[in-house]
Amino acid sequence: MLTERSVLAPGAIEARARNLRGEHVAEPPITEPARPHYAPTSERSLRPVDAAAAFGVGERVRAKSMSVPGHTRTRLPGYIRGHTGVVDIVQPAHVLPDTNAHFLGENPQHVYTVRFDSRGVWGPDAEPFALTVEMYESYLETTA
Amino acid sequence: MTTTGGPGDTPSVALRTEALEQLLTERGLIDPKVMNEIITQYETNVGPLNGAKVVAKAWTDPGYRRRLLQDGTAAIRELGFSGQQGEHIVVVENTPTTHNVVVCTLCSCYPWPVLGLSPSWYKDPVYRARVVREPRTVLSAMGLEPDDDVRITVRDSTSEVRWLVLPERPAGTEHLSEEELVALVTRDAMVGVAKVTAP
Repeated sequence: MLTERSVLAPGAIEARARNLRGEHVAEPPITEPARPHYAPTSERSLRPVDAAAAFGVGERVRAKSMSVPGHTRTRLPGYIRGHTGVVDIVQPAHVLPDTNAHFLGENPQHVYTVRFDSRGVWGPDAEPFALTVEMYESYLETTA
Repeated sequence: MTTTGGPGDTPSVALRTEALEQLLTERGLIDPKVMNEIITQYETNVGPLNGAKVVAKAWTDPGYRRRLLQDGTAAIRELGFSGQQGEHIVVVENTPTTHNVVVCTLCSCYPWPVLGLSPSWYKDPVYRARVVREPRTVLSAMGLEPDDDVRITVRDSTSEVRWLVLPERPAGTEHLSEEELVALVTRDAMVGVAKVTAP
């Protein structure tokens, strides 16, 4: 991200690290950063949202498995994609790191603690246990 | 002679990190004094002792225990602990029949205000990958063997929510004061990879 935003030139870290260990290599010139038009609305991550929570405690939900073009779900663990669980706790809304970290907006949304059964996730031979994962609302779909 | 290789080798992570810090400092984007203050703060001033105070109070004050399980962040703030990586803390209780264990499979999310900085095993890719897959095997390797009828819940910290385990108060500690109990509570018990034992 630092090179994408021209905060550092490509190769700048590599060149400096080599010089730090005693080599003499030329470092790329200092670049002019492309500053995003972006300011956080609060220094923390929790945000009030007006919309009601889409899912309620006890509701069955599925972690989406298809990625939406142009969006990466940075906080949706791969092992849980496509699996169905039950909403355990509706947590306070937070900013969505997937967009916030890329200066694409805070996109605050409800977060759910979703409970999964180990055998649903890992197969019938798995140790019996429950697993809870926090899911941003846009990571979830109904199982209708 | 050093063991670092010739010019063809990629510099080590440590060197690359130092290079990154230098470059960002030169550009005025970070202040190493502030970075050092943060590290000192969380290494020396904030640590698992905070969490131990929370646990010992919950063991000796039923009203506090109730508030802690209902709204962890607020009850922890009552004791003066809050800050980064502790915006929303949920406390779950381990009992003779339920055992919670905490992980962050994506990175190393950890409740700093009550536990300080995370231990290296918590950041280890092996712990992170295995505890969500075979927690009994992992706990056993770490010296903890929950009975077969104990229901295990693994808490994967994938958002800004942080989890703190309220361990079970060990038998034979009824005569101990809150202060004496604080000394028994370990970081590992508050992550859920150990139990608190009587002295």
